[in-house]
Amino acid sequence: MRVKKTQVWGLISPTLILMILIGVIPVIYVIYLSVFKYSVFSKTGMVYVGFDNFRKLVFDASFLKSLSLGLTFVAICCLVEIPLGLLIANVLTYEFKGKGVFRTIMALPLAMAPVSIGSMWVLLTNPDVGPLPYFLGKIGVDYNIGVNATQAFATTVFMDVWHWTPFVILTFMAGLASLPKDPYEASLVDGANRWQTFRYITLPLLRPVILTTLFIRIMDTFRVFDEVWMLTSGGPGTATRFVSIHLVREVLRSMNYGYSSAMSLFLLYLTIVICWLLLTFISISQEEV
Amino acid sequence: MRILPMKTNLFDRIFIGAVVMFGLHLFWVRFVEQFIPLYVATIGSLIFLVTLIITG
Repeated sequence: MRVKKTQVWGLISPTLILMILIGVIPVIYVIYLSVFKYSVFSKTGMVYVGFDNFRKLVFDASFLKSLSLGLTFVAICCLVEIPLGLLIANVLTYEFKGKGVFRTIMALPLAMAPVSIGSMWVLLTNPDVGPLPYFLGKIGVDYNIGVNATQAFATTVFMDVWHWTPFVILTFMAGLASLPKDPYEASLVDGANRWQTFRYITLPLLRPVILTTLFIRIMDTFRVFDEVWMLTSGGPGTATRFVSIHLVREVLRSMNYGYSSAMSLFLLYLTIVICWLLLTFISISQEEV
Repeated sequence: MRILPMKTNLFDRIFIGAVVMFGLHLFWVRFVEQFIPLYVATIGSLIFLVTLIITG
């Protein structure tokens, strides 16, 4: 059946208009704002400053610190979540008693809103009523995320791992289920053990899935906000002030929308570059498979 | 002679050019601007963008 070009445009135009309205126009407005000094309380209104906001940004020590903190957070979370997810997904390919119950319980954190998770962890880590400080105190660990910066950072990492590893497990389980059976049968005939089968068959075949999951997790972890905001609000001091939290605090504190727009653009740029590199890797690995 | 090692369309080239341009400007203001003014980076990256779009 031949479809006219006008029909095609008619069908995709509602989506296209919506995408332009909620996606393209705000980005263009942010780009526009980033070259102005614009504070809502300023009498001067919008003052054109050119590249000055970006000039200020690359020398802003607090922003660079939050950026490095955010990147460290991304690296640690991904380094823990991906191998852990792969391990659990592999274990779940075997049949054992209580597998269904485990799978259901495992997926529960995914169903919860990040704000609820943050609130729940606030209660869990409360030095007065929380079970975590209580039990850690029993083994001699003085646990207080309101005071100890390392503990606060480690807790945010643990919370993210707890929340998002089920997602990694589910994607890997879907990936494992879609793998062809022939190479496994051949490896069985050749006498390969479990490790060799995993190392030389499962891992290479699963590479596109691993990279895609990594891609999603990097994007998500880089812009983490709700959970950490609820748990620590970036504290103690600046120990968990990841880049998105720094951005929000900056907007709320100074109301300087020009500089904040430059910051947002820089973050968008970083995300685009990282994702573009990963997408290139994904497409290369898919061609190889 | 091509600059990029992979096959690209016009949109890819504009996108890569814009990404490189923005990155170069940020790098320039952070490390080079105290010695050489920013417009050198702007002219250089524009020449790169045009070359990239033409040659791919």
